[in-house]
Amino acid sequence: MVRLLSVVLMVSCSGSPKQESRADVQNAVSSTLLSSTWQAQVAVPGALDERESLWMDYYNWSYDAAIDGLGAQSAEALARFHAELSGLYRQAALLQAHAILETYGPDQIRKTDPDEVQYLVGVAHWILGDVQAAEKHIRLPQLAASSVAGIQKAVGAWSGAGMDPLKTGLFDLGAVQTNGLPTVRPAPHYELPEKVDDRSVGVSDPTETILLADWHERAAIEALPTIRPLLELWSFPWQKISEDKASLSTDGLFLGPWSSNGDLDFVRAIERAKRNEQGIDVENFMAVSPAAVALAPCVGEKVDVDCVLGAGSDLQKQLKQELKTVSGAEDGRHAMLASYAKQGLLQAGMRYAGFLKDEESESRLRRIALDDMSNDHRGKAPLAALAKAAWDAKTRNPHHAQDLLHGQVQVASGLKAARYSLDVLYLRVTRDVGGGQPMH
Amino acid sequence: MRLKKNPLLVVAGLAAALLTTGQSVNFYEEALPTSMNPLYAKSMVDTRVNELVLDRLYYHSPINNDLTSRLVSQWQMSEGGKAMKLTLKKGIKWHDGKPLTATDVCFTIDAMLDKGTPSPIAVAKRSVFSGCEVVEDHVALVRFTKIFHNPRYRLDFYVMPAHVFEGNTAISPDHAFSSRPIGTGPVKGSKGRRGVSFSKVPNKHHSAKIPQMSLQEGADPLVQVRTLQNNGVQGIITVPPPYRADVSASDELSLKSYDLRSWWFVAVNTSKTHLRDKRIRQALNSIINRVELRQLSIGVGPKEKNSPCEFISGPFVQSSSYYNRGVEVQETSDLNAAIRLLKAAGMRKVGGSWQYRGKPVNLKIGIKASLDVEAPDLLSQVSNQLGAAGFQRQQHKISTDDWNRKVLTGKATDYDLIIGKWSFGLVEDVNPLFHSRKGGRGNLNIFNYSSTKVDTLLAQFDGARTDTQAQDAYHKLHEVLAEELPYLFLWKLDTKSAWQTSVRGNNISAYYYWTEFSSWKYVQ
Repeated sequence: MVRLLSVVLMVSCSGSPKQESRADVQNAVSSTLLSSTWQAQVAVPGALDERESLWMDYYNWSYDAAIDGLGAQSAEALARFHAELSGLYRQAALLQAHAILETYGPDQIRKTDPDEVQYLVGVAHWILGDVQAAEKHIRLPQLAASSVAGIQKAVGAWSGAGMDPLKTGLFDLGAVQTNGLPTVRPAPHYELPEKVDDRSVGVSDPTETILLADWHERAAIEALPTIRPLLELWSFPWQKISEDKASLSTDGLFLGPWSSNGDLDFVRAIERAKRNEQGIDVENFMAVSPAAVALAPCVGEKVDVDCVLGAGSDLQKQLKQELKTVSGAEDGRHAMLASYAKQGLLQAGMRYAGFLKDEESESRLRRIALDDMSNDHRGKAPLAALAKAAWDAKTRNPHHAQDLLHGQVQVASGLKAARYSLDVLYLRVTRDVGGGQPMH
Repeated sequence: MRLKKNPLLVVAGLAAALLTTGQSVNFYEEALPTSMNPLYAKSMVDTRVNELVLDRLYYHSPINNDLTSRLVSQWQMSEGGKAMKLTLKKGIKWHDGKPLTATDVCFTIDAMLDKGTPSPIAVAKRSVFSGCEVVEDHVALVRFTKIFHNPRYRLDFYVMPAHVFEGNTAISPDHAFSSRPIGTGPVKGSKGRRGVSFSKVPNKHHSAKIPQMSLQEGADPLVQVRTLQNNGVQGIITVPPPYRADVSASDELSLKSYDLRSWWFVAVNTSKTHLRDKRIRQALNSIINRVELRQLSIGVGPKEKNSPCEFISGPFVQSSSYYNRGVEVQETSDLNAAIRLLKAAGMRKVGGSWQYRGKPVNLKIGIKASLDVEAPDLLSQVSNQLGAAGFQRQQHKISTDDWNRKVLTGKATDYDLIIGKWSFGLVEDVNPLFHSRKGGRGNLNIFNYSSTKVDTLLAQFDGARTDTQAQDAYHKLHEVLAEELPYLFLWKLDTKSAWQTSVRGNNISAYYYWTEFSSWKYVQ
């Protein structure tokens, strides 16, 4: 407990005291709602007890140590760690899919590119939910006749599995176990021959990333079936989101952006509405979700980004006041704990903008949310960073995607494979731009 | 970091009082721009100012990265893919009221192709464009030297006004345009001795909401931060890491990432007798303790997570496809290795100081003055480490003017070591830094380093037919430079800006700081 508190305290005490000049709170969240947050629950003296030191591994984004440590004591924490790893790999797979299509898709492929990249294009289509396009590419006759044994095997496996990667038997990750991690094969997975100068390009197969996501998903569910709401939030965009209510305790939410089960359900509902192209009534969540209350005045036909920023600051302030009430005294860590609620609101606003197809607000909030967390001692949350990297790959911006991925490859060993997909996109984009002049 | 009381804070208070004027937004830049002519941009300050005053023909949207244009309404490939017909939007005016026409587009291309325009940026474009023809008042036909994939990517240049230069395509860096440019951007700018003032110019394609801006040269970072906190300025373009916690602790301020691919280095004068032997350069590399330097000048602890500063072993940032991950970084010093290398190269230590061929080695070390703000005391710390290892030294801060006049032109040959930073746009092209200075190449080669092996690799990169050829050439280059050490490579340091939260809508992305300026607003 002492260690985490001291880190939190150190972070919250660095710099000058907060200058709080906003006298009036625009979007008041009730004390009842605020007291339902994980922040309020951990602010009660002694709430985390001796387990607080175990949370340090998670605080430092060291999932393997967290699984061994806290995971051995809490099934919910264990399930959560696996769920987040599963989400990380799903975002990495999306990143790979977009990068592959932006490099080898119909408008971008070059005459010198290996024929075998069509296999990667097929897998990319599967990740984005287009099974027909996946099959069309993976079943191309030249792939079955490829001189690259790995590609031949992969194509055969996908065809034999009826285009279901989970049945391909590719990449032996080892048996699913809740108290361990899968075995990752080093990338590049294949060397594909280019049609010029007897050269080859090293590539990674996103099938492994899909399987890693599935491995962790199964481990999460095995540890605690009710973890599914968290899993759904970071699933592939074509996957369904259930209407089940989240019922996580503090271990499932602590140090995360969703302050309560109500927040988690609200954000899932936004995502469900987006995927199903249906409506959402924010008011339905205002009795259970602080984020919904704070966001409500900021959304209409578009999301008002400045309003969301103001609402985030207000929510942070209100929660900080609530924490003082709950704990009975002012505490240096309260501001930092409350900042997670602001982060959750920014992410909810970003997702809502995505639902409204308000691309500008979504893009701005995505960037602001990342900036907000990168100014914190803990750094960018891997899931948010990977999701942004996938977005960047989709928008043909490999520079930023590379920077974000580079910052996260130590978090989970299988993420390194995604580098290969981004590397080829980066090379293609920058060589299209041509020469540049360094500046001082 | 806890900030101590400092007499300079009085200056900050004074600056706050002087600078706060009406609806004007004031901000600190790293330095004053050296030129506002985009063909002669040398620094990131210059390129940022260009964004405000001029328009690129095409640019990537900071919102969705789409390749887009504010000037072009239609484009069409022509001549079998070797030309592109561009139809300009009508009604766009230059700041002096004259209309933007196809003549301006073709004038800009012709100026870049004119060998009387001594601009390295123009030289780079000569392998892209072969000419331009005005088809109609608002229609230009741009011709390329060959068929390019995604040719619109090549049209990222700033359009300049033909009438201001009276059609003379040989553009001199000394033309008045460099300090008082006429553009089509959201504001017009005028450079004075102490800053640049900008005022908005309504146009068909821009509608800035901030009427006035003022760029000031930032000095002491503590003064900058305090002036920002006192609302004397509304923004700081670059906030050094030690001051970021203080900024982020305030509800009234926000830190904004400005993720450039930038890296820091110590250039080594390989022409100096005592630095010609690569073993001596390798010894210097072994003496440098990067972990300590980073801690003392940037405030990053040895094991600190999420460090804004990451070491590099070659001329690329670690996240780049060109970075060779097989080349290890030398993080801490290895003095025994350094001594072995120095002795093997013929150096002798006499009375605690190294001598070469019987003469004491006195290293003249310089740093670009504005970098001393971003990484305070880096010059002293590098000097101290070399001093502790037995070298005599002299330290110098190099003004921006001297940097442009001497360092970038390869004339600062009296220096032994120069500390600097390079920033890159979308392309990490290091050819200008390491190619021998000849035939327009190597135009930023600080100490005129020359290596046949390096030149060959750079030529391989330039001539690469495939992406992997280009990548292999740069991976090999990284390996060779880490062995030859014309530079001691230090680190990538991320860049963050700070703005008052009252300045809203500020969409800043990696290479486009002011490109969406029309969405910026100042809510007092």
